[in-house]
Amino acid sequence: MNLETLTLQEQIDGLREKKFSSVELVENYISVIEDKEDLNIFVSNDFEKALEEAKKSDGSKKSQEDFPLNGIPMVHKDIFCTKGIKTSCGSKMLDNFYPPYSATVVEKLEQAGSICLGKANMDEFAMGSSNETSFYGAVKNPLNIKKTPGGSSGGSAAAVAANFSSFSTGTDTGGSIRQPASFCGIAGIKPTYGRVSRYGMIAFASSLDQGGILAKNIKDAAIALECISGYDSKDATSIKAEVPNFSEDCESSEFEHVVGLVTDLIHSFGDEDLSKNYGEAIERLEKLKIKTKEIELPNLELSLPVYYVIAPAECSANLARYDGIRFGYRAENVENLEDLYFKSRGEGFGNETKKRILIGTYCLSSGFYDAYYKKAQKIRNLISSDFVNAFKDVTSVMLPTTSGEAFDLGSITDPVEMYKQDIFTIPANLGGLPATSVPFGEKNNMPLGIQFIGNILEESSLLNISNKFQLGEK
Amino acid sequence: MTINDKTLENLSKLSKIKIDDNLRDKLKEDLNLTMNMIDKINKIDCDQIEELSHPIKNNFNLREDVVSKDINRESLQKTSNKTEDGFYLVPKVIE
Amino acid sequence: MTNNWESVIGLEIHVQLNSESKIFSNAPTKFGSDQNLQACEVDLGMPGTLPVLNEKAIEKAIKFGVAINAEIAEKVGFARKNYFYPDLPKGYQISQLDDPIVGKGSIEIQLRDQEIKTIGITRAHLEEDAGKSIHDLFENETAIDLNRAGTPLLEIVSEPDMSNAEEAVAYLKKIHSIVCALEISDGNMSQGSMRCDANVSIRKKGDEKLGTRTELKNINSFKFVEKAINFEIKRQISCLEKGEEIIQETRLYDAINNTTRSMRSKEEANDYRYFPEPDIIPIQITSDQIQRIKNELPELPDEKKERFINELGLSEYDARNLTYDLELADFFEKTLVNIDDPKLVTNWILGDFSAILNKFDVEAKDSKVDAVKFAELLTYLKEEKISGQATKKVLENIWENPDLSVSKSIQDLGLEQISDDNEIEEIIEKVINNNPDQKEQFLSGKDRLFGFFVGQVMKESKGKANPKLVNEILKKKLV
Repeated sequence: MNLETLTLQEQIDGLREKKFSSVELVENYISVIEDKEDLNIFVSNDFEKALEEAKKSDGSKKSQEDFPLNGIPMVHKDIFCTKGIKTSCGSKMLDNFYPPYSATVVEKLEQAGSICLGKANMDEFAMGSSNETSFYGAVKNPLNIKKTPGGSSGGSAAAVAANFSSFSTGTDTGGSIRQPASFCGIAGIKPTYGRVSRYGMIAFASSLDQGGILAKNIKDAAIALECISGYDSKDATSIKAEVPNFSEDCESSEFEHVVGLVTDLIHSFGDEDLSKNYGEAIERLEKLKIKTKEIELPNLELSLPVYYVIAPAECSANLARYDGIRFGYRAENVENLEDLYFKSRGEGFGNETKKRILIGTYCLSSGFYDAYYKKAQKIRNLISSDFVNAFKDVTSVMLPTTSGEAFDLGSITDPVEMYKQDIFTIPANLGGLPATSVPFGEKNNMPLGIQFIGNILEESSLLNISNKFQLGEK
Repeated sequence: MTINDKTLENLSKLSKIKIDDNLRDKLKEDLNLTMNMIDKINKIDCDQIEELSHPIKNNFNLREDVVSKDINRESLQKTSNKTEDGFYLVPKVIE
Repeated sequence: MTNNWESVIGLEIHVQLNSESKIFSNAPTKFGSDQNLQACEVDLGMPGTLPVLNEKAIEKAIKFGVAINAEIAEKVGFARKNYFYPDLPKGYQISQLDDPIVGKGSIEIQLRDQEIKTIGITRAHLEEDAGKSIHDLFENETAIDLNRAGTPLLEIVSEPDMSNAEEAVAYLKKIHSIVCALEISDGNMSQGSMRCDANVSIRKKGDEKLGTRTELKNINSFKFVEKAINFEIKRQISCLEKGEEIIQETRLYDAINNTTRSMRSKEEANDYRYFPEPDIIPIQITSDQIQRIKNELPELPDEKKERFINELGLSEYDARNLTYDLELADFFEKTLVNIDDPKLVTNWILGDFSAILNKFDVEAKDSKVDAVKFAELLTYLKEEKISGQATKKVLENIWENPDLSVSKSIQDLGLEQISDDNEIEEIIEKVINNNPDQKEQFLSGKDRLFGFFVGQVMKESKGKANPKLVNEILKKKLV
């Protein structure tokens, strides 16, 4: 049996039925991982510790009810702090950072019984759409090593696609879970802003960042999402709301759906392949007898400029703490304090990170705040309101995840071209809305993805429609 | 051009990031491409619209005033490259 | 030419709120622990950590707002103030910009000539304190201690309503007495629980337009506020009279040399790039919450003063002096529990008791003579068992010997008042017999010699004779 190709649900069942042990699972994965080192997926790993935990898990009598992921190997994006284990965030700045605490997401998955195999490579501080901004070099797409796996959770997506684990954690600020999921042919979910604690998740843009799951399919994503969701007193923006039984809801027949469509908007991009795939997705909905309704998202295209004001502005402050004093890279041979700042930050940050900090600083600086930051926040409200209006009539909105398939590594050098990768994914972050990416269609032998956006805290319904869509006709 | 050498110099100072000379031109070009894309928002009239800073409204959470930290200075300072006698050290600041 | 100028002063007072834990983390706020032992990962701004607002900080700020009759914001939002400094761990300070928790309010101060002046308060907002940079501990390095980082601060910003240093000090003292009465801060200026920056400008008398102001930092005692402002006013006048311009800048008060000096130009660092703090969603304050805090508000210094006047019959002057120092007022009230004579107690507390506190540099709450003992002592006086002179001596005696009871002290000092008619008569007769000439003169109309006889009797009785009785009996005997 190729244990590494099993889905999360199959692994849970197999462990329960004692078809195989957690140690066997971990050993299987280790051999796959060692085989595919060239993909550059892991920044760090500790296989010995993973095996030790697997042994413990096999010997324990923990109930699956209380420990739903008992003995299940998984992968964390290297943006989640792991106590005593290097957490680099893809940056030279944190190449020597061993946090003395763990992220809430990490603790929750540990409590659920899962075993971390390693930390996945990513764009530096989650800033990028191709994984090429990582200090550790780009991850290669397991489906075609010339291609990008997407970003910023590129390592997490590639890990699932390359069978390094059945699911992984990721973060999504403007599409960083959904776009790589789409590029690697897997499923991903970014829940409602505040559903998953951000504590210990290294901040890029605080009002947009949200942790989530990448998995082989929506059902698996639902199982894992349930484990990391819930109010956390350490994150003041986390929401005090019951966590529904996502894995059950995902397969329930109770949900009524009306899927919002933006056919005209998609056609307006003038990309035949894009329109074609969207049309085929609509056909699948029709075959599934799911109600649809054309809606308007008049300000969707403004998402991109708005995002590229707000995210850099927040990041310019979030990344001010990297000054070489209390943690992180500290430049040597400095003459004075200013020199320490300028050199530590100049040498510790990569170019994309610097660019974003500079853009953010510019948009907040005296004389420009109103024209850029304030204005962007106003338009953010417009975009968010478009969705509020849409959700009066529909239960979810269907969009492409990306405008195209995974591109060749190194092929995009114009920053704005790269930023355009996120045009369909950013709106959900601006509105704090939950969204999934489901593999659907292909182009040039690479997978494409379809995105569903749900209403606030309506992950159950969102997972349900996404699952139906992924499974297609019975 | 929105971001010229002088602006870049000021941004570098504000963000305390040293900009290498060999990167300066490419950086300037990239920043201006980005700002041109951003400048689309200038054309939108939305004076009457309120700003949205937090995607989820009315969700404030407060803490009780309870001290519950076991602070382990040694473990916290392991991440620093320069400490002595429990202090973090920086090059001497002359006020 | 100095008389042609007038000064305009506004104060920014930073009050450390006395919550147990920090404003955004659950690390302790206690003063004086070893370096960096009270800075947790949130205070250190470590990657991934997040601030969560302490509900007590909100409550204490509202208390202050209610006490000065200010508007309390319905929505309290925080903002990031961005600048780099080694004792500012995150590279930004979480503060408030657009939605300060406390809006416009005012307080009254009383000036030396009894005149009352209203000082406007523009706003008061919550923010986190920074850590400390210590420059003289290591030879080539500055040491950073982040224990203070994250201590809750209420920054109280006044209108530029003060026109001299005396008013500024009176205002600062009033704020001090309010925050102490509200118990929202320990108000300890020497430990930095209350710190003050002053904005000072001068203009020609009668000018409407404000002059260019300078900001004086680091003035951390009542005395220094006065000195720093006076120095700065003089400096500015002399600048202008020399035809120089005042530069808008931050100046540091140097207490040792009593001077102010320009801090390194903050020109470029002045762009703080404030923007709404994304990690903290604005807090809604309900009118119920404000009402509850209003109902639970302790008595404020002004209310106490009014009560002393209206219920205890004190003069405005006495009531003000008693309520200036809340500990003194508290001692006063505790004394009254055991002796019902507000006027007598007031005189003694503002007189000899205050003098002895000053002499030993002790606060009323730490007095070596407690209120019960003090009341006992004054009861001896009131019942004319001892004289005023004797009371003073006993007070000093029981201060220096805390184990000594009042009665024992009176006994030891032999100060029990003589109120026995016969005994006094005896002394008087002796005095009259010893001074026949004076008696003659008195009887022939030299009235003022009566005082001479009183003095002699008191001297003879070693100050113990009851003066009232001495007067009465002497009148009879000298006929």
